[in-house]
Amino acid sequence: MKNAKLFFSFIGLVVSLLVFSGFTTAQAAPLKSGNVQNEAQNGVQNENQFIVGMECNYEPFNWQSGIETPSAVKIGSAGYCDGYDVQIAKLIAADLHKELVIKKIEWDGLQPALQSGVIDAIIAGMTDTPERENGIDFTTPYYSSDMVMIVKANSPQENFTTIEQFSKSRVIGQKNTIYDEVIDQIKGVKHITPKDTYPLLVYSLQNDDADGITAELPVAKGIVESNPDLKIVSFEKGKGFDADTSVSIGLKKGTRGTQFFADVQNALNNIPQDKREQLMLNAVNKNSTEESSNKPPDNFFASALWILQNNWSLFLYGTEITILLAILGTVFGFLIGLALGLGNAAKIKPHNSILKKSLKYIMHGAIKAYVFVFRGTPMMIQAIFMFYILRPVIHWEPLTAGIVVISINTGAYMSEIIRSGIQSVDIGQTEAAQSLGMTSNQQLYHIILPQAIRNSFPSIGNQFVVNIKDSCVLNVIGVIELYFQSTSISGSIMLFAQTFLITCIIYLVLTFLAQFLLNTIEKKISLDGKAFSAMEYSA
Amino acid sequence: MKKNTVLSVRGLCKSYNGVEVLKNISVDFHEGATTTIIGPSGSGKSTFIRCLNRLETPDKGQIIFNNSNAGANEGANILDPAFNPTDVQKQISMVFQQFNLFANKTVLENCTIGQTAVLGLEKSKAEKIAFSNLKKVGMEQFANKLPYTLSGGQKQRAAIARSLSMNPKVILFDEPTSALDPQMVAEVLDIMKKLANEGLTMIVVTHEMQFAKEVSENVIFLESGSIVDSGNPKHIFENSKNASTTKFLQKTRSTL
Repeated sequence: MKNAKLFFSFIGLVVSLLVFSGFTTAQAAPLKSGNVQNEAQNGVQNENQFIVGMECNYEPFNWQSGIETPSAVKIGSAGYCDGYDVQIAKLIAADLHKELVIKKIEWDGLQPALQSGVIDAIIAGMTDTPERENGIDFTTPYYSSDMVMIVKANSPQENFTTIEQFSKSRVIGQKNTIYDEVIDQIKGVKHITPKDTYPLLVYSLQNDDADGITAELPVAKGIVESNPDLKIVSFEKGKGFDADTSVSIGLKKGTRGTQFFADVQNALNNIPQDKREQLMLNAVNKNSTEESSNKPPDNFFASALWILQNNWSLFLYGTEITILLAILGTVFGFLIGLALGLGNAAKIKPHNSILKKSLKYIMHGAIKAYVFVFRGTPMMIQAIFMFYILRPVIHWEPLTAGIVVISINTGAYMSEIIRSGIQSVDIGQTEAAQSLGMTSNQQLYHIILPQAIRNSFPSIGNQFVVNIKDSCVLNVIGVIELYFQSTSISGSIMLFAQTFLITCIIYLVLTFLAQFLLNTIEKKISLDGKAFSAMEYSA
Repeated sequence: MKKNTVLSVRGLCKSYNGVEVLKNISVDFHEGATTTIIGPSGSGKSTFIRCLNRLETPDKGQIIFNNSNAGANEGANILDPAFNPTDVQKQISMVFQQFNLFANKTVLENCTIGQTAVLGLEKSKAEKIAFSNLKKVGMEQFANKLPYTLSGGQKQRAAIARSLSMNPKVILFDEPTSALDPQMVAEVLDIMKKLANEGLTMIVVTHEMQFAKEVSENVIFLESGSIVDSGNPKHIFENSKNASTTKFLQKTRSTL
C-alpha cells in the first residue's frame, strides 16, 4: 500500500508540476518573442504589429545570428535575424507606424502562414510568379538583380559565360523556387534534386555533388564572400537565364485593393532606388564581416566545441522545449490513453439499457477510429494538418499546437498500452473482485487499473523516451525545439556534421537520463517481489 | 427439522463449444449447512459452483436465491437477463483455488475494499470487521503485508477472511486446498471446519474426502455434468449403492 500510495502521489505530483510549469513556460515563450501573445488574444490582425515571415536562412536577404547588432531584430528565443529583407521590413513597419515582429518560418511554410494569418506579409526574397499569384497578392518588386551561377573556383565551369556551356554539368537550385525551375532552360543539363536552403546547396557544391548553383547576384555575392573557394559566373547579355529575378512583398490573397495593401505599397514606394542599393551592399558586406570576425577552428571536434560555446543559449532553449514537449506529451498522452483504455474496457452487458448499449457501441467505434488514424499517420503530417487547419479557429502558437499534437499522438499509443496492460492482469483478480459484488467500474478503479498501470509502466516509460526523440518532427510547424535550433545554427555557420554531433550528444544525454529515472521508478513501484517472496518461504 | 432453502437450482444446463458440461442439474442448498461437491476431474464441479454466483452464465435453468435479508430480490431467479449479477455476488462470496488476493492491496485492504466499495461501510468500521475476521483465521499479524510476501496457506486464510468480511449469505469454496503444499492444507481445512461448526452456509468443491466426510451435511457426487448420487456423508461414504460413487471413492481411498 505504501508503494501504491507512493506511486499515485508521484504521478499526481508530476502531473500537477508539469501542468503548472507547462503553462508558465508556454506563456513565457511568446513573451520573449515580442508581444505575440496579444495576437493570440485579439485574433490575427493586431493593429499595432506588422508581422513578417522569412526563412532567416537566405543570405544576404535574411539570415539568423546569435549575436545582437544594432541592425538585427530579435526573433523570439531563436536569436536574431538580419539582412536586406529585415531592413526593408523595418522601413515599411516604421512607415505604417507599427511594431515590427519577425517570424522565422521555413520556405514552404510561408504561404500557409500568410493564408492562415500567422503573418501579415512575406518579405523573404520571394519572386512574383504567376503560380504564386494564385495564393498571394504581391506588391511591386523591392529589389531586382541578375541570375548567376555559383561554381567552384578552379573548376572548368569557372570561365563559362553562357548557360549553354553548362549543358553537361550538374546544376542544383533551391526547392520550390524559380532558381530550380530555370535549370531546365539549359539543354542537356544534369538537373540535381533541389535542396531546401542555400547552406545545403553550398554544401552540395563543396562536396562535389553538383557543379553549379543557380542564384541571384546579391545572394551569390554573399555566399562567395564567406566561401572563398567559390566563384560567381555571370552570363553575357542574352546568353543567360530567361527569368524574372525581382523580389516582391507577398500579402494575403484578396487584400489587393484594401487600405492595408495600399499602405504597404506606398511605404515601399517611399524607399528610393539608391537607398535600396545601399542596403543590399550593407547586407552583403556586413554578412561577410560578421562571419570573418569569428571563424571556427579547422579541427572537427574543436569546431564542434566552438559551435557549442557560441550557440549554447540556442541549444539550451531548444533542449528545454524538447524536454517540455516530451514530458507534457507523455503525461497528457497517458491521461488520454487512460481515458480511451477505460472506454474500451467498458463492456456491453446483457442487462444494460438499449441507450447505454448504443452509447458504448459508439464510444468503442470512436476509440478504434482515433487509434486507427493517429497510429496510422506520421506525427509530422498530423502536426501540419492540425496546426494549419485549426489555426484560423484557435489562433494558437506553434508550441501550444506542438504540445497538443504530441499529446494526441502519444494518447493513441498509450491507449493500446493501457489496453494490453488491462489484459495482462490475471483474470482471477477480476473474478475475485466480481465475487465481492464489485461493479465493473469498481473492479477497474480499485483492482485492475492500478495493476495494469504498474504492469505497463515500462512501455509507458518507453513512450517518454520515444517522445524525447520524436518531438523533433514538430519543427515542421515552427516549434523551436532542439532539432529546429540545430538546423538554424548549422544553417548560419554551415558546419552541419559538427553542429549535429552536439545535437546527437544532447539527445543521448536526455534519453540516458530519462531511462535512468524510469528504471528507478520502476523498481520503486514494482509488485513483482519474486525475490522477496522466495525469502519469505524459506523464513 | 426442516431448514430454509437458500439456493434452489432447477434444470441447470451449460455447454462450451457444443460440449455439455452441466446436464439438467437440480438441487437445493440449505441455510446453515455445509454441502460438499465431489467427483472426478472434468465432471463440471467448478463450472457448477461458478454458476451459483454468476461468474458463469448457464444456458438454461433457474437459480432461485432466497434471501431473508433483502426483500427486493427475495425469490428472484438470478439467471434472469434483467437481474444484475452484482446483486447476488455481494451476498454470495467465493474462495478460489488460486486465492486471487488483490495483488495491489495489503491483506487488510483485501478485507476492507469490498465492504467500503460495495457495502458502503465506513473505513473504520470495515477495518474493525476485517480485523475480527483476520483474527478468526489467524492472520491478524499479517494485516499490513502485501500478498506476494505470504505463503499459500496464509494467502488462502486471508482470502477466507476477505469473503467473511462481506458477511455473505453463502460462501462458495472452489477447491480451496488444491493449490496448496500438503503441509498447508490442514491450516485451511481447520478454519473451514471451524466456520462450518459456526453455522455458516458453505458450498465446497473439494478433493479432500476426509473433510467432506467429517464436515458436510450433504454430499453431492457429480460425474460428467450430472448429479449421479447425493445424500449425507454416511450414505455416500459408507452405504452408497451407486457404482460410480463406489468406484470413485475406491480410487481416492488413499486420502481417507
